Amino acid sequence: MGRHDLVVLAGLLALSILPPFLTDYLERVITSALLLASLALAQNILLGYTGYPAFGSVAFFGVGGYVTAVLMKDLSLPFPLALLCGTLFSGLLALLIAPPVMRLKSHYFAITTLALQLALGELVANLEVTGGAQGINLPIYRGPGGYLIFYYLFWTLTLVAFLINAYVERSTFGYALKAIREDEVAAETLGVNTLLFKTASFTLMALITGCSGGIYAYWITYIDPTSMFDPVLSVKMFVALLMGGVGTVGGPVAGAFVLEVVSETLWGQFPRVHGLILGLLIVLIVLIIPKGIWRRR
Amino acid sequence: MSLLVVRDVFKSFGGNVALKGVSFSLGEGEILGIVGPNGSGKTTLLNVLSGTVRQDKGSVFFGGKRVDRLSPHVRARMGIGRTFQITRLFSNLTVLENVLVPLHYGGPGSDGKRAEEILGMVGLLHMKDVKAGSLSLAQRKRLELARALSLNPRLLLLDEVFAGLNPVSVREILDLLRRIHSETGVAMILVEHVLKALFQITRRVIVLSEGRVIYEGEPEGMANSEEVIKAYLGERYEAFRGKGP
Repeated sequence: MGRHDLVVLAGLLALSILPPFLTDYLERVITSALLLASLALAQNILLGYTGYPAFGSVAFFGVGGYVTAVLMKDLSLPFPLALLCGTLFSGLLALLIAPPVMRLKSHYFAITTLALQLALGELVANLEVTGGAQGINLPIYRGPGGYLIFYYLFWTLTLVAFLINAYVERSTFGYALKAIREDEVAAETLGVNTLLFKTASFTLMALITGCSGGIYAYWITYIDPTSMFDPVLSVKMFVALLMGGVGTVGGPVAGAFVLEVVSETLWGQFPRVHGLILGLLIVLIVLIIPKGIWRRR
Repeated sequence: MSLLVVRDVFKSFGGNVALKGVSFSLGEGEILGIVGPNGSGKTTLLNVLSGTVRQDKGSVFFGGKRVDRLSPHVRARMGIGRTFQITRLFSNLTVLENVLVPLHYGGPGSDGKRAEEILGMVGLLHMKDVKAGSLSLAQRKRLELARALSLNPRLLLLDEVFAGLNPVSVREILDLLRRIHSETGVAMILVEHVLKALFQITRRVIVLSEGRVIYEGEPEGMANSEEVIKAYLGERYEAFRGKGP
């Protein structure tokens, strides 16, 4: 890890002792930022290190959320077990579809994942078990810690995703992914089983994204296809990643927090035109610092 | 027993037939040159041998085993290393990391000492921490060689390794190839346009034209082969020569 990444790690660790000093509003903003950071870190493994942009990775967010919700509602499974199942199911789905999907490259791959997101959204909207377009209501969490539990769940997930990214950055596993990103044909001719590593990268991304979806479902207690397979969430996640720096360990976290804070501030100050100002800011940031705040070393 | 046996290999891309029944064999430690005009199928042949392109018909045996249905990474692990006509380095990785990847995944394991030995052999040890993307063309070619050597190869496929280099660099790479051959005994196939350099390292060449082998033998014999002259200079030249004094 570089110096910048250690700063982000220190910041993340500091967040664990911050809640007693936070208002409910700030707690919610940071929880949202952590959610976004976890998604951006997951995407970073696939896009940043392996070079494959999954525009529709939010598909796994929806799958994780829905599996968690259905298991809690229909089978009355406790949340931890339902979340574990939702996470594993997302990973399993990725593992199954990776062999054909990961043979596609660049924009073909990106659009295929987007199609997966839209198709799964439609499927969920038409299934009885998922409550169709009506969605699913979940019981409100009334255990110890109250809603702070979701802050810590997203914090833990973000920390784990951060450490996975740090591992990828320095390990031989990461070398294989980076070799694929740099030149897949060359990597193959140098002994890298590219399909295996691309599948591993895709599955890791899906596991983290699915877990995030599961926590989110219980946090907001009501889910429907529109909110769980939301293309806007994909866009926000990509913006956070681009702002922070693709292919860096700390970048996705920094990008997520900057985007969330700027977005919330603009929302408060300019409720009517905040979307317009945010859009302009994003264009400016990408033009001025195209490699992100955490410039790739 | 031959190290490599290529039997009746065909490959077409749409309506363009790149290889039309190419056959040849290569002995353990032998150096073979493959020449031919642009578009004659030389690079396609190397791609078929390394597995990045699959042939339509025919077979390839390496070390007595049929390999033509195996993935490129499996062939690499069996000891087939290659370089590319236009270098394909991992530009954002350091020179050392470029060598560690094949050492770990295709060779004996990611051993930093072995990586440095290989970089020392190709004269890039002093640049091990430099990003590969910032190397000069000659250095890029050396690094591609180093990566291929990391596989502990029994066969090196070198695609236009002298192309674009100045005479000094050509001589340096030539010396390097000679040293690699004498130290490791690796067999080599060189696809090459720089015939002067090629003929200094090999005594056996194959000439390809429109996907067919039109000459196989010593370099000196090429100049007397009517088919080779026709392939390089055209049928009109051949007719003109026939009418000459």
